[in-house]
Amino acid sequence: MKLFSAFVLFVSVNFSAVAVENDDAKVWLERLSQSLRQLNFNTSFVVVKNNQAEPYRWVHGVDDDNFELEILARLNGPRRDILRKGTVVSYIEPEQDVYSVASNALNGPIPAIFSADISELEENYRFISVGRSRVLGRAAQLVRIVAKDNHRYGYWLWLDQQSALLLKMAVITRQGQLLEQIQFTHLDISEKMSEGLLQLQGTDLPIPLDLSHNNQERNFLWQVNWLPDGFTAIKANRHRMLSNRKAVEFMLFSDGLVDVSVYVNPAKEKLRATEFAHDGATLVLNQVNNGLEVSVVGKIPLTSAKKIADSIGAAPIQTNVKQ
Amino acid sequence: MSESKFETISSLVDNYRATSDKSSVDKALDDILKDEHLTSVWQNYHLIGDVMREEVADTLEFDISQQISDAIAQEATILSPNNSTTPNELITETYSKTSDVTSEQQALPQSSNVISAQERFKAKVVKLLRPIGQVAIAASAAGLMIVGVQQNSADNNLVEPLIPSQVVQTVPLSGFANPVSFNVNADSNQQTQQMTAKQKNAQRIAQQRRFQALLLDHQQQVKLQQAPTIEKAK
Repeated sequence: MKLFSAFVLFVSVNFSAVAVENDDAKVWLERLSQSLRQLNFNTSFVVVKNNQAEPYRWVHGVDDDNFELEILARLNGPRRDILRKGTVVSYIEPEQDVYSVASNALNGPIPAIFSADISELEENYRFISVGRSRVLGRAAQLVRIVAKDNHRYGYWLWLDQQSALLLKMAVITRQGQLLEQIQFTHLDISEKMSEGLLQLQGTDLPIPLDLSHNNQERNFLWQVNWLPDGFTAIKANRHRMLSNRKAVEFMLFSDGLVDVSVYVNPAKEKLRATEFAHDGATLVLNQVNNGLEVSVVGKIPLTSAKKIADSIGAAPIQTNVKQ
Repeated sequence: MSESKFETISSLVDNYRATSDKSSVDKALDDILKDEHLTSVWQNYHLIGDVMREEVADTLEFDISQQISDAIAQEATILSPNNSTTPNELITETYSKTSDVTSEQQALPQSSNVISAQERFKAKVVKLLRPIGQVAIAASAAGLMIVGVQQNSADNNLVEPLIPSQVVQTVPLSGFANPVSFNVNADSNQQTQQMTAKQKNAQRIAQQRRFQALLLDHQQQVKLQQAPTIEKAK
């Protein structure tokens, strides 16, 4: 690990004139977080994955009372908009009626942590400031968020030298293979809020769903025995899957940057070999063992997902007695 | 009704062409087909031939064609085959499906209980719109799950790329056909070898559906989480 980062440092010293301490990288990320919360910006980006490009428009603004407004809209295909007013985030999706969630970040292609407290990631990731380059016609600073272990991917961020806003982002494996990237295609920073946000200001969003009771299921007969360091359970519930109405027991884990879902349900078959597919950086893994179907979804390497799936075992006995 | 026409018919009945000129024979045939009298002559010549060769059936049915066309005319007309499920049933099914989803997630607390006249009207509109939406979802879901093979450049890039711009070079922004392929890893080879192609295909579709459902649900569940800071504040 140390060798590795020493190597990275060595390489950066050689290839770019500016190789800086990790502290500098953290300062950059803090500036990014601040800019994402405080600037009025109007920007477009494309998510490039699977040799496909999905365009988005992203508008953010802050009104006179320091109240944040935000719109993220997917531009191709059926409408998928996310609106945010302060701590209410509404999702407009073709699958269902509009719903709101109490949250202070909208959940789009860009990890929400970037606009929150970035130091939460320090436990599991290293921040490395690498050098300058030119992105979107601007001088950009490249900052890498490198995982400390090999159970997760790295994130490379190109930040605008002036505003520290994101210009480009890439999800990269430890071997340096590019899995997914976000390229900004347009960036406008203005003094005033844009027209669309002023409209949003006058709109009432639906009342947020109460999710507290839905997310703390404790009576599962199984548990996940292995997770990469730093992953904690965010929620656990029983629900029916959105598209095929299959009943599943579900747990969501997160290390602050990456979300990993674990699904467990009884299967018709007794045994099915492990199957997996990639959607950009997102891995979907599915296997049946002893009539129990286990699925793992998230932006993690195959080896990690497989290890998580294999680690699922019976829960401690007191839970069994309860049932 | 010239003598030559009868002659032509006669020679045609004997499977013999008077002239080698194809167009003139075609014209003669057309004339015969158009003229009722000539067709009856054609028929008679055949009958005569049959009698001479002693190939006549016991009972003489002189004109079967007329009977057949009569029979066809009496058949009931079927414009289109019946569907096993009527479109209406289908629509209501999908509608109830989607309303289940929302009610489970408490997105629609009361609206489904109260069915006023206005609601019913709205429901009708929704019923109309829903199938279009469903198609759109299917399309978008398909788009989502266009899964690329991720193995291509792993071997070349075992070392961390030296300069950041290499990321740009590895995958250009656009201009590719979409690979619709899974890098599926099936360990039980013996089993799969015995399967027919059809079974394999069905299995593949089932697998794609599974992956698609999981991916969609994952995205949904990620959205349905309250921000930690807000939870703490509670």
